[in-house]
Amino acid sequence: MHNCKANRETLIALALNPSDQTQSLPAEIETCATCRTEYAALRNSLRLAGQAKQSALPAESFWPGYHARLRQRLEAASQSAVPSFAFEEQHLRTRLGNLFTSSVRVPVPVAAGLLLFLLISFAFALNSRRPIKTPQPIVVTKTVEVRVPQATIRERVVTRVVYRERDRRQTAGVKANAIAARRNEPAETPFSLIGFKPANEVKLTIIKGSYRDEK
Amino acid sequence: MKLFQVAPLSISEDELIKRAQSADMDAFCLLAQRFERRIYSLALHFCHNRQDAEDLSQEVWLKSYQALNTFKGESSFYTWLRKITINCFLNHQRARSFRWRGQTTAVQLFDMDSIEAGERRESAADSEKAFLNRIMAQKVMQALSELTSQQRLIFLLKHHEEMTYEEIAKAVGCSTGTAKKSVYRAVIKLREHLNIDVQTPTAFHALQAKIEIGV
Repeated sequence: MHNCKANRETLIALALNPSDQTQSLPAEIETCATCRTEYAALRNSLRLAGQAKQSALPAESFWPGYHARLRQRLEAASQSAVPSFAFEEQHLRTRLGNLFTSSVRVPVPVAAGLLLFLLISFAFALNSRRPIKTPQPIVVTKTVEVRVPQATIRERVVTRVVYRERDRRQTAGVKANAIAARRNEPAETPFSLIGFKPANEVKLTIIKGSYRDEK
Repeated sequence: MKLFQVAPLSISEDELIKRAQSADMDAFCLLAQRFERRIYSLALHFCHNRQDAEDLSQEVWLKSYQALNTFKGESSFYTWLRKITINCFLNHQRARSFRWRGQTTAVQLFDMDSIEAGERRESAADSEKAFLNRIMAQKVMQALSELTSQQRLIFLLKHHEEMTYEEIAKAVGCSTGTAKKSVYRAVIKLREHLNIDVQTPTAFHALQAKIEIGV
């Protein structure tokens, strides 16, 4: 069954496409009077929109001024394309100026919260600078005598007797000879420093190192 | 100030592009002169305000002058220029939506009183036709102003530039379906505002007929 509303998109597509306008409409649309009327209206609308494109343009007297303004903008753009030092400086100044003069929009609750936070932190900072009064502890002095054990030097004499086994035969012979010698020989004089006379000059050679020449 | 010279047709587009690429501003101005009306018309239908349209179209020329060295001749100059135009329009749309968030029909209507006096110096025979044309243009602008800026841009690209839906979708960054829907919506708006009824013609429709005969 023919539905005019369903065909509207087809009608628009046909009205938009200039190449299809020359062709005959589909039979379904051609036979329906409403569709034909709608199609004609759509075509007229688009035709008038096309005419409006031309008529909306300004008159010839508009264009010289337009050209002058465009040329001015192009020249300004080409000059700014090669920035000089002065320009950079000016740009920096402008940016700094903008930094100080610009403002940021903050919602009221956020601003109030920030302000409160700043106030609290400021109050804390002020409190932290004051000297903290802490109660001084009571000091009680008491003298306690403590005996320090002194180190004592203890001497101990360790005597050790070492026995050595000898050949009994040899010892017996030696003992017999010794007894015989004692009987025959006079008794030896004990070693003493009687009659010792020291020399007038003492010659000392001090050897310092391992080298022969070093003295 | 040096104004634009009349673009001599003897100089080819390629020659002008080459000269402009070697920082010849005069050549670029001559090049701009060839396409300025198309760009301005698009901007005017997009912004609905002469001042904004001038700013926007000049922004397009400025951007294209700065990016001229990126033009490699792989497409026609106008196709390349149109890409820049679409980008400028989209940037303008983003900036505007940021400034006027939540305002759906935030456009200034086409101001008939802002037409320069020079435009009115027309012969008596043409004055009626010109007047009707302006009314028609205003109606078209009103219809387009009820669309979102993206829908408006898509409609202009389809109707004025005769781009395919695929090309539009790629350029604007949306799906083909969205592009189609935007165009359909724009056509329906035009149909409503122009109020064309073929079966019951009114006095206004008679004037429309006069315009059509004049064309």
